[in-house]
Amino acid sequence: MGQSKPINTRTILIVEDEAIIRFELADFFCDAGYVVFEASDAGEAIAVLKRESSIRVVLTDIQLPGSMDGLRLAHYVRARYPPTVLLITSGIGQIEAEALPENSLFIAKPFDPPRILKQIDLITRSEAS
Amino acid sequence: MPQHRSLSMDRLLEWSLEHETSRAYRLAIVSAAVVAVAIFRAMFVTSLLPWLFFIPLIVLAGLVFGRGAGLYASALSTFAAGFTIADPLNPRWLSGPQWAGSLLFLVVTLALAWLAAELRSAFARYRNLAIRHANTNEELRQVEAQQHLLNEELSHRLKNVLAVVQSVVSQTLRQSTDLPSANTALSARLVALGDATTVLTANSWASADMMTLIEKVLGPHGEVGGRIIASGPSLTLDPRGALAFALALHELATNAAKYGALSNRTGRIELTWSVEDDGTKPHLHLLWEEVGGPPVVPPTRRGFGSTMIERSLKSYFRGSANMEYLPSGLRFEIDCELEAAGMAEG
Repeated sequence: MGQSKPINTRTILIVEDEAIIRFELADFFCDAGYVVFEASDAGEAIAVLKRESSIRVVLTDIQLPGSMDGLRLAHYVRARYPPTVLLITSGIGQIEAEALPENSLFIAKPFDPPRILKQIDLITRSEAS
Repeated sequence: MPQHRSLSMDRLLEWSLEHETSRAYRLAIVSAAVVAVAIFRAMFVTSLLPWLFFIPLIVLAGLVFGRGAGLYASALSTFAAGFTIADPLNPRWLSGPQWAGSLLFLVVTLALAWLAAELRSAFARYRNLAIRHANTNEELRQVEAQQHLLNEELSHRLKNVLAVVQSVVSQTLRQSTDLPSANTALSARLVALGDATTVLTANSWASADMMTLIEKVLGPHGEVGGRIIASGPSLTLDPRGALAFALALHELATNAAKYGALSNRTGRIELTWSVEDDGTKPHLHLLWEEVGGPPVVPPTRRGFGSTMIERSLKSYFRGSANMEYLPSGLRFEIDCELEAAGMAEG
């Protein structure tokens, strides 16, 4: 794919228990020049975050198996790694803004990956300026 | 005031309907009341009015204790009233007009008692109706709440399935070399997803029966029981695993029809699974084995099919998933904890 976008490499963590969806997202971000890490639940995600300090973007589904759901994971990430760009997704129609951590974006499923890419760009650019 | 009186009357009737009493108890109460009224009348009221004071008692007996007690109160009152005005010197006890009055009193109060008892049963019917109505309303409310919940759940699942479809479409397009082949592959994959959905919906999306899923997905590729032999214990798969498993089966069968055991006239597929319990946690072992097909050549490029099968099943079933291109035929194996895939039945 002739994409000229990535000037500096960015790293994303995708947390999604539905493997088919996760693989596709991973492939998509890979094609867009990202270094991609995957996790299928919050526990795995936390382990990856501890290991990989380069992760700047976290995309998580709200419905995750195990004791910690995506929302709690997002709050955890916001508290532990404040500058991370947080994208929260779910098949549940709408989430109240108060439930989301600060500076995070809710995206309803199914979503359009190229639009997410644009939104990540917007957020990172506004943070840089 | 009438409002208040009717309310307390309601309460009295309700109380009597809720407190069933024995017949002997009811008749004893009525008898005692009749005797009391008779004594009261004889002591304090002129004998010109021998019957009057029994009337409220008879109505009350009919209302509170029902027809039998009312009729009994009427008969007993007639006797008691007659007794208190009887002349011991008169061989017929009462005078002619007194006899006529007694008889008239009896007829009228019998009718009154009957009417009061009818009122009582009408009230009982009304009360039952009100209770049933309240129950129906409550049920309706619960069903509505459930409906709402179900609707939300449905919307959630629908969006999730759409997201899965979106991924399957993107993956197919990503891996295809040309549009016509992408089109064909995509249609077949969506049909496999649809089949899995059918099996899941039949069971309220709670689980999918293994055998039903296999027959549904593999049916279009060859007769299950003919060249495709499936055998194993009764088992159900979790919804998420079921979708991926259906897609995997479809890919395996498509591959078999193109290059494997279903591409000639003699090959067959043996799909077997077993649950092994080593005392700690039961394990699911599933094997797809192709025999009698043309010699197998491992593919040079791994497409959607094999990637999808290995990666996704590994993830969904949290176990191992291995594909081997043996010369004698393709062999695909899953080994995982049963808990991660679904549950054994029976």
